[in-house]
Amino acid sequence: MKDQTAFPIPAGSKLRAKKKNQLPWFWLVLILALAAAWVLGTCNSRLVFFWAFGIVYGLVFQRSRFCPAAGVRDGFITRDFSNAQTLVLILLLTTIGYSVLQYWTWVHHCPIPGHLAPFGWTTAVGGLLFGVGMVLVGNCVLGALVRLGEGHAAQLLALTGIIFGSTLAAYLYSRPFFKLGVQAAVYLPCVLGWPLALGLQLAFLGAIYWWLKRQP
Amino acid sequence: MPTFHLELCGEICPVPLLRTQKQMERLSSGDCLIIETEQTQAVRNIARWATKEGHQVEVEEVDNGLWQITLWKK
Repeated sequence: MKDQTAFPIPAGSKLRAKKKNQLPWFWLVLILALAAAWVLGTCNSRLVFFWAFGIVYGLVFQRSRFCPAAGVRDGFITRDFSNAQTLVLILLLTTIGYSVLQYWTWVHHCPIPGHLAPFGWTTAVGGLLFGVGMVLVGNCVLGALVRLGEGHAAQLLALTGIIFGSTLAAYLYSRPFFKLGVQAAVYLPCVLGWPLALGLQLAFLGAIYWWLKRQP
Repeated sequence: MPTFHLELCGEICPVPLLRTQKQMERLSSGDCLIIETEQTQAVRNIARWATKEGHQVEVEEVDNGLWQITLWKK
């Protein structure tokens, strides 16, 4: 940390000059992005969709200024639950979206997407490490990529950690010790049926949202 | 009306908000605190907190990706 205290300045003083023009950089990046889309399109047309979706997703995330890490963290540190509310709202919406998608694939006898399998004791260790890393870096993986795009060079350190950690996990994934203590996945729609499973999850998330809304 | 400047560039969330809260405690009613940050999330956090506390807030993007938040203590 730098100086801990604010220093006095003359009243009404402007601290910065006017903004630099970034339009030439915008056009350059746009041309490069289109060129990359064209190169990807020659390999596989689906890659163009992934590329465009990734760019739009990043843009929306950056402009929204939403931070998933803050959603989990700020309630404990600063008693600010606004990001947590957004996080729960996102979970509510994705629950409905994913249920529609999963039900549709189930009715059409296709493999159900987003069907997560249990991982074993390593899930708890990984969760703890991820949480500690997230607070130290100040954001999650998505946030780190967006901040890096904004020009925060320090996030290069986070990116190195993300690449190293992901590569290590992919390498160790199939090792037996990684899946110790794994039991069969409990998939709620199979146990309770679709309407009850969906209703229960929506009611649970709704209750959390209602509680967060009531916080001062 | 004394005006103070707090440079928070390079600080990661939630440090900018915590340091702002600490500084505001030291100021007297009517004092002005100008904060500079490049964290978009911090701009949102600080502005929301200050509004909730009843301080007057003004946010301006003074340079590309650099915000100046002016707070007047209530």
